[in-house]
Amino acid sequence: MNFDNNLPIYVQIGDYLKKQIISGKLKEGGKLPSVRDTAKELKVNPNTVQRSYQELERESLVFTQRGMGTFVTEDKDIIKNLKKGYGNDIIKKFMEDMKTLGFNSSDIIELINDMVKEEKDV
Amino acid sequence: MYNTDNIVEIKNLTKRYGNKSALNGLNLSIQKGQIVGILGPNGSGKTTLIKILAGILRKTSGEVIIDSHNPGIDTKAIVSYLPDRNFLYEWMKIQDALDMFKDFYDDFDEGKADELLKFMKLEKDMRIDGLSKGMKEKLNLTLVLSRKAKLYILDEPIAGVDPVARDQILDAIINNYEENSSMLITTHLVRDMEKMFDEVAFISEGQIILEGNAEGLREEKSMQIDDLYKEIFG
Amino acid sequence: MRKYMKYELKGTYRFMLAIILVVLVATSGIQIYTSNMLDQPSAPGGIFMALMGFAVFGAFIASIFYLIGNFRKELYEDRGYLTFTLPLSGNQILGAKTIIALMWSALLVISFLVYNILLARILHGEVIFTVIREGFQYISSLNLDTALTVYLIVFIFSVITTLLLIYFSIALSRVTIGNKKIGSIWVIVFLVLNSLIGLLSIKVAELIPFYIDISNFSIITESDFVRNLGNIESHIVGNYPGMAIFTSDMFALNVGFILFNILVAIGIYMGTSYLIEKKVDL
Repeated sequence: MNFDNNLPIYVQIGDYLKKQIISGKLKEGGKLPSVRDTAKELKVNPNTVQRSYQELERESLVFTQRGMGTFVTEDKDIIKNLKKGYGNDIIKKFMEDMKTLGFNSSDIIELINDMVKEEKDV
Repeated sequence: MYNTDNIVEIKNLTKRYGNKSALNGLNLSIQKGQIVGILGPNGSGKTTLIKILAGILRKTSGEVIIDSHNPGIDTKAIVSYLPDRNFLYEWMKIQDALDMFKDFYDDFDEGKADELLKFMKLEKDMRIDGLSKGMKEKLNLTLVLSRKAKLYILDEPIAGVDPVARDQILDAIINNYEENSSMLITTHLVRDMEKMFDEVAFISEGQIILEGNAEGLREEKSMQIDDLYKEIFG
Repeated sequence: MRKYMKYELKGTYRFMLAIILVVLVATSGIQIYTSNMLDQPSAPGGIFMALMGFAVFGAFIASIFYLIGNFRKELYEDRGYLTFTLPLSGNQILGAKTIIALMWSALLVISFLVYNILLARILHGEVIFTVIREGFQYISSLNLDTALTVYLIVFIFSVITTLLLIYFSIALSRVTIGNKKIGSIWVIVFLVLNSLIGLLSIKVAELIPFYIDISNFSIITESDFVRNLGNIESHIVGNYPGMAIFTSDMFALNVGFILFNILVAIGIYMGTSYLIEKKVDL
């Protein structure tokens, strides 16, 4: 994992973990690797990883069980919302880009419908 | 009088060689349990600072306190120092170096040393003068990290080693970092090492010109420490 | 200190055993050659003897430089980064180095002597012991035993002092000048200090005109000495005039001289430990 944008490392690690949760690589109720293992894998200061975990916990995406470790939430709605949030962010950016190219909303929907059809044919 | 949360307190430290100053009223504190990066180009005073902390160079003036002692025999017992050169005796085999560390440092952990040697792919019967530069660096780091020291001081731990050795060295540092000990690491290879630091201090002409929490600085300046380093020294 | 001595020994034994081996082999060559030598000396024989002689001499010189270098390297080479970050005092490091250097010197001299006597015994038979015994008897008949014992003690003491003064000169040069390129400046420092100590011991001996009679450890003055002896034959022996009075049945050492030299030895030892622990900048 490369850390090359301008955000603090703990934010970037949080982002990386969130994507793993959304994509199902980290399952609902599943155990996260320990702070130390994540630190090792990403070659990052353990205190920084700790902070990422704390942020995820604050957002109720994970919970800590004393002596057991950190687990992904079992609440599907929270994960769904997270996924939706990420999706919305991508779409928002996409819409903005398209609008700067001069497409209006109905043009965009049309294009997407065509694209979906093509994908089905293949 | 001293803040007991700090393992190191340096006040107004000056080191002069003749009329040249290597350190110029430098101030720095290191908290217990933190990994601190001292960042600066060659000749900025990094190594001078570290050698004073290791007890092999004398300050001209100012104050240096390590775990409530002045640098000396007491601090040498609790400071684990990786110099920027090959400090082991030429006649030694790796086993001799291990024996020596075990004999002289009460905090030396043989089990940890065995583990690290294996990780670094080093054998105890290897002769030290037959090792490549990267292997020597790995051996030196193995010895230094096998102590459960209160303060680790690493002077340019990844300078001049190949990428594979570099990754091994970074892994070893993270794996063996203990929460209640502190680390001071100098480097000019900021990009490779910045993820390791809790705190960073930029050193130039023998003074700390900027210091702070690494994440705080990233947030405040909206850039990675490496970019900040380039902005300051570039 | 004992722990550090272990590593000093481990680091030096290969070279020093090789030196001892060279000395023993070369002296064997000399002894075997001379015992078989015909009346006519031959040119190749002469060259052989010269080579063997050089080998012995060279090995002794090499061992001296090696043992001095073993201290000097700590101050000028990277190994100092290990030695001086060990939790050891200057005293412990210097003590270990001094003891190991003296031990090797003693071992070299003793093995040289014992081996050569044994070899002579093999080559020439029992007669060699008779020769040695007669030598000792001759010395006792001259009443020289006490003087020789004192000589031996003074000699050993001066070897130790010289070694310590060399260490001190090296440490002082490193602390004041520090430049590796003129690292051999210690030789000049050593010569100056050595002369200074020599001069001062004579001055002190003059200031304190009391002597210890070695035969009964009583304190006498020069005039007692002269008065108590009918037929005076005073010789001054030793490196420094005034340090001792020696006649056919009396041997007396100057008190000031002894005290001064002992104090100097302690002083340079402590000075060197202080310099290497508190002053050297690596």
